[in-house]
Amino acid sequence: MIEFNHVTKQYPDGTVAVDNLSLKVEKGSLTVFVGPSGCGKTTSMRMVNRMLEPTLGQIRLDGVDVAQGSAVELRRGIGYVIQNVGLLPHRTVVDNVATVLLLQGVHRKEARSRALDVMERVGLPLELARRFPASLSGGQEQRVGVARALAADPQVMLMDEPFSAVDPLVREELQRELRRLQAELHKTIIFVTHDMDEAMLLGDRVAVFGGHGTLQQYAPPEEILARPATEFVESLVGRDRGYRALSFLDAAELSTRPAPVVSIADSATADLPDSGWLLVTTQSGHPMGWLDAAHQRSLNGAEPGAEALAPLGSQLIAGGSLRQALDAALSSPSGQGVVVNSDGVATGVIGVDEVAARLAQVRAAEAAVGANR
Amino acid sequence: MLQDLISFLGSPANWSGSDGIPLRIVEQLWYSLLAVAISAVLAVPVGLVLGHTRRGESLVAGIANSVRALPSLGLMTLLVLLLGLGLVPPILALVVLGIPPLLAGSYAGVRNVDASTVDGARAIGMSEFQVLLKAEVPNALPLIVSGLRNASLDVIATATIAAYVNLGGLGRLIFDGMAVYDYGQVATGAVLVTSLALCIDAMLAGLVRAVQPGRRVRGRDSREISLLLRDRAGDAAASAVTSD
Amino acid sequence: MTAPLELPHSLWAIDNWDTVSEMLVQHIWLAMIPIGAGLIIAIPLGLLLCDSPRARAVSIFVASAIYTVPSLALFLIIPGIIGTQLLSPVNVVVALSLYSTCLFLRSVFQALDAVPRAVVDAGVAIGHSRVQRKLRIDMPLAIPVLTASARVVAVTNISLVTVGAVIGVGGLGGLFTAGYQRNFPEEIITGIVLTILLGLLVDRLIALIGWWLAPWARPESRKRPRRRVVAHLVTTEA
Repeated sequence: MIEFNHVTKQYPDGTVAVDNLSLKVEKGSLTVFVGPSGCGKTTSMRMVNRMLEPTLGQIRLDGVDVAQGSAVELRRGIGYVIQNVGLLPHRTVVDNVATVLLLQGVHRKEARSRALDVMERVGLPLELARRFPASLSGGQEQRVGVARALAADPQVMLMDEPFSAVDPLVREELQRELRRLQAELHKTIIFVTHDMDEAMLLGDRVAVFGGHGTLQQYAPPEEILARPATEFVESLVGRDRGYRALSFLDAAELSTRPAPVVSIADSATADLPDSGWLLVTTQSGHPMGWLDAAHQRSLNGAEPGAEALAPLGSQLIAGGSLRQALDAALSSPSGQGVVVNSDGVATGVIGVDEVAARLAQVRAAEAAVGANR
Repeated sequence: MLQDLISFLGSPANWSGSDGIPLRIVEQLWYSLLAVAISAVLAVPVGLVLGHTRRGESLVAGIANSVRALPSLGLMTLLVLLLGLGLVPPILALVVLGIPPLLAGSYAGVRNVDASTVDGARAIGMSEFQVLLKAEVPNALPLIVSGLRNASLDVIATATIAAYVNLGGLGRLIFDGMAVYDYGQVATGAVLVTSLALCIDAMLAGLVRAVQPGRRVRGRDSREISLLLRDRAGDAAASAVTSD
Repeated sequence: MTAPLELPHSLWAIDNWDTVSEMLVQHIWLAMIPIGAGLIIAIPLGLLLCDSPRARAVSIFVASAIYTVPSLALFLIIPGIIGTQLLSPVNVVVALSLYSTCLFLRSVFQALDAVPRAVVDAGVAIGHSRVQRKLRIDMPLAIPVLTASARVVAVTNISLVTVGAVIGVGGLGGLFTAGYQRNFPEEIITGIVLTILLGLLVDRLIALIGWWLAPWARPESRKRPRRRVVAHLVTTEA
């Protein structure tokens, strides 16, 4: 557990970077510090491993004041991932990952062997082991950074905007990877970002920082979306917050309709249903695209390739959220969002109406709970 | 010129004895090595520490610039008049010339290491000394060696002038040749100094390339990593067989 | 000579101002002609070679090699090549011109590389020909870089001229050889001080010319611009 007790950081020029911060990060949970630049989120995090020293107040790690003992020893016990990764350019990937172990005095062969284990765990191909950081892609480099932080198996990890310098696709992949790792490893993590979506996606709890290092709200993401504590938080979560809140509602209870599927082989000759759209799938049931009268006419009886169909739109994967369900419905040309199971086989379709109906149910249930209190 | 040069170089008498060409080359190299070594011992640690603390930039630039303006012949003759003849005054003058490039090289080398590399090294628990030794110096080596290269060239060139204040070295050929109007001897001295400078420069340029970080895995590391990877592949194959 | 506590009754330099001023004038000529020669050769050469990476690489290599030749050696090799007298001032001027050209050539390349791509594109787009582009866009924008390197070249030349004294043509360097032979330190100190002062003066003067020629590069405050990291002092090589 990490506790901030009335922590203030003031710089010699008088700027207050963090103002009387008190909060607790529970053991095994991931807390996101979010806010605009200059709000003190990074400063707060860097005081945990004493890259900066607080002016006032105390930070306790599992009950022990971090100011006791040596800063160097403290840092070796805390994993740290920074935005620019900061690998050592003159060392191979595997030796970069092994750095902390080597600093702790682990024998080189053992350290490298454990480094390779960690590389596998974070999804780095072992062929990269003997490469140098300069030859890695941004995403790979960031994974090496995460691997380096994990190598000594620290209980606490600090992550400073680790994914903000990579392109959006890779960022999503790294975010998924982090959730997977965290579900497995249960580290106590402080994650700093300026991206509200990232905060909502990753955080068990989110601490929203405002100007001059003041903590505006510290709560689970659902609550921040549902009940922003201050005007500042409300402005940060913004206009889309109703839509964002759907991310926290499970789509499992959604009633799906059977999909109007047709196998690719029969698509040229199949009759169109009343809706005017058929979902074309492969022989094994994986959806390929949508077919309407115009598309069917242009086929002239021949078997279509994927490019001859209207694009699928996004899909709702089993276990997804209402936000994904709504997005699937909105992005499908037929107005019917495709639902697939974890193998990618189409199991049904949903429309905007079903999402709305489900939402109404949830609201009614919440109101009932509220009334009973 | 060429004829004078060849006839001087072709005479066996000039290749032996206490004023023979080989000895002059050795003398020149000895003065230069001594001076550069002393300069390095004095300048590199200071440059590294200043670079690490990121202080004293104007001091380093100021020293480098002012020594550029300092005439080496004046410094050398003055030191000899003040301290007397012998090895010490000219070497002292050469040390003064060697310091600024080494200071600037080691300072700039450390200073130019990527800030996030240093931040990362500190954050994973390196002590300040380890940060300098394990993160900064290995990545500063190309600029440190460039500084060494510049210092060596300045010092070798100026060591020729040491003959003017009665020391040996290849400058002896030049000054003795001028005294008796023997252009062959003068040209030999000049050409040999030039060749020596070009050779040393080429060697140090090679060294600059060799110390570029992250270009080639060292042989021992490469073997050890290969071995680990092979063990791992073997284990994976074995477990795949047993699980089938 | 003077007893330890007695103040010098007068400065040697003032008593011998005729000799000193003659040396000073020679010094200025010996150091400044090469700067002009260097600029006149290096700028057209640089503009001509800058578009071919191969020609650039070769010329940089040659320039580095020439710059590596020790000055005293070059002073003495040149008469063997161009047939001048061994003790002629021309040797010193030619040698220093060679050094200056080599240094300027590198800065011309650097300066041209530093011209922002967008500026060049815009210039071409509004209809500059190749030659016009080089003369009206590339060269003016290169002035700050060239001024900076002219300062380095000038200070280096002023210091190197004195080496010529051992072959009889060294401007103020003559004070070193004469002072050494007569065992008279004050003469040498006079030479050192005047050489350094001349260097500083010319350095400021060229900075001023650059400031005047390139108004867009003037710092906004009155303060002198902070020097960049000293890396430029280190890399003499391509």
